Amino acid sequence: MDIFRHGHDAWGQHVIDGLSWSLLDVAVGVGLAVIAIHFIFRAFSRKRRN
Amino acid sequence: MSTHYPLDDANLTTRAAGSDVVPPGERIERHAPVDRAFHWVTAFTMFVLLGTSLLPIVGIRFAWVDAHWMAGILLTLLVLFHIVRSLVWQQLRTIWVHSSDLGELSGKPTPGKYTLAQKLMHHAFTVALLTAVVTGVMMLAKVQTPFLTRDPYLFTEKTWGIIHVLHDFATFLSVTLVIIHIYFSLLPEKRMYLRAMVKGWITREELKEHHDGTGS
Repeated sequence: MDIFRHGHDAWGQHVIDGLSWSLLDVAVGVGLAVIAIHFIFRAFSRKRRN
Repeated sequence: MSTHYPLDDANLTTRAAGSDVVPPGERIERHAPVDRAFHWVTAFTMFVLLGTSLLPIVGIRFAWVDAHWMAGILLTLLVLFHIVRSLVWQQLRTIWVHSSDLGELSGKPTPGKYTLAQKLMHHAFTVALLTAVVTGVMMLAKVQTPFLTRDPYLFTEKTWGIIHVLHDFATFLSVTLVIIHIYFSLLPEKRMYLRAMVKGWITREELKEHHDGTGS
C-alpha cells in the first residue's frame, strides 16, 4: 500500500502530490476498529457487572 | 432553563458568595445556545467538506470545488469564532487535560464538565481542524475566488506537496474521528450528552451521577 500520491512537475521531476487515497480505507477501518473494540469491551464489562 | 453549568461565568459570582455550586432545580444548562449552534453548523460544514472531497475519490463525480472552498471558509470562520469564544467567554480549564483526569481510568474520581475521553476527542478534532484550516487557506491560492486572484505558483511544487499531505492527513483523521464521535454519541449510556447538545441541558441527577459538579 502506497503512503503518498506521486506526480511530476513541469520539468519532469518527481514530486509528492499528497497522501494515497487508499489510506481512506485505513481511516474508515481505524474508526470501525475502535467501535468494535469498545463494543466488545462494553459487553464484557456489563456481563461482569451483572 | 433553571441554571447554568457550575463553572460557567454566570455561576462564578454565586460560588464566590459561598452558595451551592449547583443551585436547586431539575435542569442544568450544559451547553449555551450559541455553543450548540456552533457545534451543529460545524458538523454540517464538516459533512459538506468531507462529502465534496471524498465522494469524487470513491467514484461519485461532480463539480465539487466551489462548494468545498466555500464550506472551507465557513469552517475557518467557525474555528476563529470558537477560539475567541473559548478564550474570552469560557473556562479553558474545563477542556484541558489534568493529571487528575487519569483517575477516571480506574472509575474515580468523577470528571468535571468533560470526561477524559471527551477532552481527548476535542483535542484530536483540534489537530485535524487547525491543520485543515491552515493548509486549506493556503490552497485557496489554487482556485479562482471572487476575492483572491488565482496563483498556483505561490509555493514551489515541493511545498505544495507538503501542504497537500497535511490537508489529506487532516481529512483522513477527520473521517476516523467523525465515525468514533457519532458512535459514542448514539450509545444509550451517553444519550444525555447528545440531548445536552440538542436541547442544552442535563438533569441535576445526571450531573451528580457522572460529574463532580465543579466543572474543571
